[in-house]
Amino acid sequence: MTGQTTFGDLLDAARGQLATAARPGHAPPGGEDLLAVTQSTRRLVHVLRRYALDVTTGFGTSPSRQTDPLQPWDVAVAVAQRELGRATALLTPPVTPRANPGARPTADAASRIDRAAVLLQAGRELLDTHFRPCPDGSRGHHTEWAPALATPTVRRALLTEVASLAQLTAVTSQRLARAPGWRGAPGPRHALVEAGQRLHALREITHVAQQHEPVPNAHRDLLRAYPASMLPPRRLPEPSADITSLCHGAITSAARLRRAAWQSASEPNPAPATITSLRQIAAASTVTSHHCELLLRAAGERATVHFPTAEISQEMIQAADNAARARASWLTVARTLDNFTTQSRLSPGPAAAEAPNLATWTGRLVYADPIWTLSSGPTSQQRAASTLVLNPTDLPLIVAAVHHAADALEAAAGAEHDQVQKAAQAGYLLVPTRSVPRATTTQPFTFAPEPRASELLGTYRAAGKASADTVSRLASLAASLAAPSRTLTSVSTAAGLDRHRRWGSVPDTIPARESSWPGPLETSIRDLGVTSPWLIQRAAALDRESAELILDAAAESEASHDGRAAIILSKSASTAAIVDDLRATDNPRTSALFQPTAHGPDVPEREA
Amino acid sequence: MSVIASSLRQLQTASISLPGLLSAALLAFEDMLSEIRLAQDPASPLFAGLTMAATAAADGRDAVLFAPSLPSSSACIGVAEPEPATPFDAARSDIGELVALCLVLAGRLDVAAGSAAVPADRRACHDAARCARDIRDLIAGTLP
Repeated sequence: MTGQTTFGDLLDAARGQLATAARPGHAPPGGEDLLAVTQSTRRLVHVLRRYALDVTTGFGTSPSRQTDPLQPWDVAVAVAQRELGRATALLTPPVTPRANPGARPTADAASRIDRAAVLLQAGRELLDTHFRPCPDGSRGHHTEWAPALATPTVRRALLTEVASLAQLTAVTSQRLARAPGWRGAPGPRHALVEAGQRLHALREITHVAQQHEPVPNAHRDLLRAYPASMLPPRRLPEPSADITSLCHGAITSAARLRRAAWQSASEPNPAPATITSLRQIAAASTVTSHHCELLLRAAGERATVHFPTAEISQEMIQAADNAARARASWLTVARTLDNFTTQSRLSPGPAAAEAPNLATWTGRLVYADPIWTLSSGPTSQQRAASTLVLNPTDLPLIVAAVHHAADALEAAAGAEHDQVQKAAQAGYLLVPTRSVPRATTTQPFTFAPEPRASELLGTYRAAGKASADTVSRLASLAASLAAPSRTLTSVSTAAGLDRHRRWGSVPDTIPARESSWPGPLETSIRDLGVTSPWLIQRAAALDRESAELILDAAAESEASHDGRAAIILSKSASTAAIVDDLRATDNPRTSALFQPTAHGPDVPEREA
Repeated sequence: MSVIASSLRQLQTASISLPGLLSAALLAFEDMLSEIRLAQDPASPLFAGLTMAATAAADGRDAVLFAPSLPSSSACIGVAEPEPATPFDAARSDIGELVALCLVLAGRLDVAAGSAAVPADRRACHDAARCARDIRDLIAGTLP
């Protein structure tokens, strides 16, 4: 996906070492001791055993999960752990003064088996980088790829790979044990043969489980595609970069943006959103969506030349239309943010730093200028479609670049939506005072009223949904073209992520649990520039007490019976703000304030 | 006279006092933001630059607004609803006027940043000047 080494690369390299170690008829020229081969095989089986433990515990995320003896895969995991343990025990030599298990093996076969063990251990560590220890001692997700890796289906795919490697190890060890020319006591030969039997059993039980509940090939492919969690550092495109390099660069930049968005959304106590970051991301996402549209239209134009039917071309044009809608939605976000600011205006965060980068990488694909930047102005000419797509094999990579970019923008929309919601709840989101009719402060900005904040959230929801629609369309296109970005779809599917359901349930309102908006006293305290949490909390508490006092008093007064209480209180500037807050809350006592009681006296109508 | 040209003249004739400069700078950023939003057209090759420049204009306005010496009467923010986009015409002097406004704005704010007595004013002028330079670079094509 990003040009990095993948888990599949390490698996293949390990298999290659094992296959070479077990060449038929291979015999050590100098008659080396078979003990070295036994020890190397034990080290490899030990690594496979650790893999089986990872499958059982979900890489430590579900260590106490109970296994169901009636579920084939649960049985397979239990058998795998048992047989790998037995194989390890069989391969462990008795302790003798002459034995030196730590010595580097001299036999070529043993060296290759050791190399295979090292590669498999590296693979295990690669997968493990997607998880991290939590403060409570448990293990949690470290990247956006972790949820899929911890699912039962992907873990079954891993067990399938482990079983396949166990089978290969068994074949290797038994072939070596039967080959002539080895020195050593019968012990190591017997150990290798017996251990091979245990490893064969693992393969058989996994095969049975596979018959009952097959592991989808897409999940095995996904597992193989996992890179290490560390992403390449941020960089800008070189002027000499060709289309392929620009596509890979865009994919890497999108991966960085996606990671930053995921980290922002996963933080339990994230830093408050800053308007600088919000604007930067919205503007850059607008530009990136625009580039996605242009790239898809150009690719669609070339698809009519390279493909006999119009299906692919039509899919690309439809995806371009989706990208255009995403561009318009993000532009609406950017324009809406013109009228907001935040209390904190620190430097942009990681996502805001990466978003313009992605716009630059995609821009280099769109425009012919090899040094195009966001400020390149009216001389920028769009790259001819014929130079963007020279032959049909170029299309999958271009679609992959656009797919990754759109996926990253959708992730950014989700993270930004949540940031804005938290900022609004915490009172960090501000609007121009002049735009708030009953604002009581003389400061240029005041706290954003709930309807204004909801409007802003609605724009993020629209941008997220439009980006999700683009991603869905591109997922279909990537499947049709066998583009390398199919793994994005596999990750989402494996993790059970339904983008459209997510955006359908995202609220565009601020949940009002209590009177959460700063009342008049808290507003005055903040206007004085006070930042002491103690003083602000005292002010907020006094505002709440004031609201409760008004409710108590209104409930006892005559005015509550005929609904005049709310009207009377709204006439006073000092109480009007409190009444507005109460109206927005879920406090059941407000019903007595705003709705006349059924048994109250009739209010005489005003004569005309 | 265009809106930008009017802002440029106001800035050039603004009093040398800090409150006067901040008032003129506030109006300048507001006018730039409005004009840039009007000119945003996806069909224009300037779309990317203008989209990023609008961010800098809004940030510059905010920076001025948080300056303690800004007169409270000048804190009259109200970004008008954008009318249908009118593309920038590269052949016209609009871009040149915008660049000139940014240069003058940045220059005067830099001077104020060096001489303002209140640290918050210095910080506000410094941040606003940087935003003005960013707008100039994005519009004039010199930002790397």
